Amino acid sequence: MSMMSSETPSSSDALDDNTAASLDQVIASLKTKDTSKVIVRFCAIGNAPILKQSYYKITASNKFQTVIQFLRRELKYQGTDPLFLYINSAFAPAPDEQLSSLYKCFGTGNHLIINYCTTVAWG
Amino acid sequence: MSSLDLDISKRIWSGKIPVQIVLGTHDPADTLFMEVPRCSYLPLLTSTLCTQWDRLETIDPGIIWYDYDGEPLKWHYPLGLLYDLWCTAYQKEKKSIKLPWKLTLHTDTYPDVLLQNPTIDTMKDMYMAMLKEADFLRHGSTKKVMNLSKQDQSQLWLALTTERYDDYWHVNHQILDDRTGPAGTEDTASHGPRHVPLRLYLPNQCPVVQDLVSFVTENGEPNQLDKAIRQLVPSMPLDVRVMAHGVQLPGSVPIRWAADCLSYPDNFLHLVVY
Repeated sequence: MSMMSSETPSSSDALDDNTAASLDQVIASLKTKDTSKVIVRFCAIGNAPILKQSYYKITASNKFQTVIQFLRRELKYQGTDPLFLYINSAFAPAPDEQLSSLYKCFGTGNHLIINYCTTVAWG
Repeated sequence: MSSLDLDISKRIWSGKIPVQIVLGTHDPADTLFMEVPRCSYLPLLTSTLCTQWDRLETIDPGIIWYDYDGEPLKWHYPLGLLYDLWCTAYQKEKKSIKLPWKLTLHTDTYPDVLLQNPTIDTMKDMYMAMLKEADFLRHGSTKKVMNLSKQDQSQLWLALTTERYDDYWHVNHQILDDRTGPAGTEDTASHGPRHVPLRLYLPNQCPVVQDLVSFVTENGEPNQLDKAIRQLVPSMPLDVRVMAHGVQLPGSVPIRWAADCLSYPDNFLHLVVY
């Protein structure tokens, strides 16, 4: 069976792709925090305030919840101020989805577009 | 779908797990036995329990959570997935889950590790978001879900909560229709479904694996389960096992068939690797 090797360096390259490791080794490798950065581009929708800077680099191993909290801090929002975040004007990921997975699946060009607004946009 | 596929699809939809729900008190009378659908979710179970148990009547469902063997259960995962994760974790330790599956319901000290506010509304939003995410992977946009009428969207959710297979598929057929390409163009030749809505769950709190996997290989051949898994995790051992809906799947399963027949109602193929 042919194995596909990754093109880009990642934490799983610590193992030789041509030698199947044990499942425990695979898990250990996947649990190693991906310290690479994902470029996130925040795009305001509707009346949402526009940030001075819309591009940010966020560590890939972070969950989406971290991105939500980061944006809330940048906008200086209080705990109860409504803020809704979407990927590619399409859907709101669960807060525990990993940023690296979101970028790999839904990134455009070299970044991940995250739209935000103060009301529910795409239900 | 062939009649065999339809049979499989219906069995998966109606798969159930016998559970025993115990209230987090020490009174042995505070227990209920029932069957829960594998394709359902804990907030929907809570909704049912609140009608059965007087003492839950005044409790805010947004603070109710469950544990099994001391571990809080993720309410946004389908029940069948939760159960399979525990089964496979126990198998590794040469144990097996004693049925009925005994879950403890709690009404206080909501754990930080769980997502907040597991109400019916939150669950419905989460479910719709997953449907859209699956749609985006499969078709490159969420047009199919967004173009559903309000009535169809409601029917989908209602069908899930009342276990009505035909009502559900009446709407879901529209979402899974791969015939139209992007921007509503009719393009059957080159635009089949793009990427598989697929997530791998490995043991020991491993992060969920999700990446782009195609329905066809580079040679244009139909992709298979074992190839797809190694596209996601190249170093995956050859002897690894894959489970969906309590069934171990052979590596030769075509990924297209798996996506069409073995997905959960959120149109994701949630696979347990162990």
